Amino acid sequence: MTKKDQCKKLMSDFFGPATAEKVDAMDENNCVEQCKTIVTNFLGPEKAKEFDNIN
Amino acid sequence: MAALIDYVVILAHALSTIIGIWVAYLTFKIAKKNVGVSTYWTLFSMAAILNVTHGVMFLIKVGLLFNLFSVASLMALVQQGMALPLPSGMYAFAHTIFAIQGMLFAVAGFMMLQFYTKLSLDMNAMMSKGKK
Repeated sequence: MTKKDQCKKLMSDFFGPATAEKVDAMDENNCVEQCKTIVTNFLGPEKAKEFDNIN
Repeated sequence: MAALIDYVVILAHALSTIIGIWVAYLTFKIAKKNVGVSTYWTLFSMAAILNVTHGVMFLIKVGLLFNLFSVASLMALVQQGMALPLPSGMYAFAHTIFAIQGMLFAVAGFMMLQFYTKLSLDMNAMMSKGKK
């Protein structure tokens, strides 16, 4: 599973499928950082910790 | 004075019905894309029931204002239709419940709209920054 796929799954769990589809337009190297920032801003740092498990 | 109050009530009903339908439509669009089918149906059917009921109340009020029928004939019709006596105060009670439900729905709809609009804007801004 690529980083993008893992980010997509987490974003879908947090916000729903329409938001998760936006991850497709992100860069593979930046997607984890960008998604983590979004989740931190909207749902708080606790939820954003889920992104630390992405390898 | 009584006629003025009647017109204000009609205007309030018309506005709340129109705003309610508009919020329901926008919420429906966002919920369908983001939340999933079951939540969308729950929200949308709630809004539809609320707004149809409000619309019917509004039409009844217009009918009463223009003397198309009287309260007594309306109550007689309701009692005939339901074959049940209508307790006094039931109308006011039902109206209050619908008004509270409507306000809660409108607040929830606006909060959802605001949340997803900001989320979408922030994500677009972040992605365009990343590409530069």
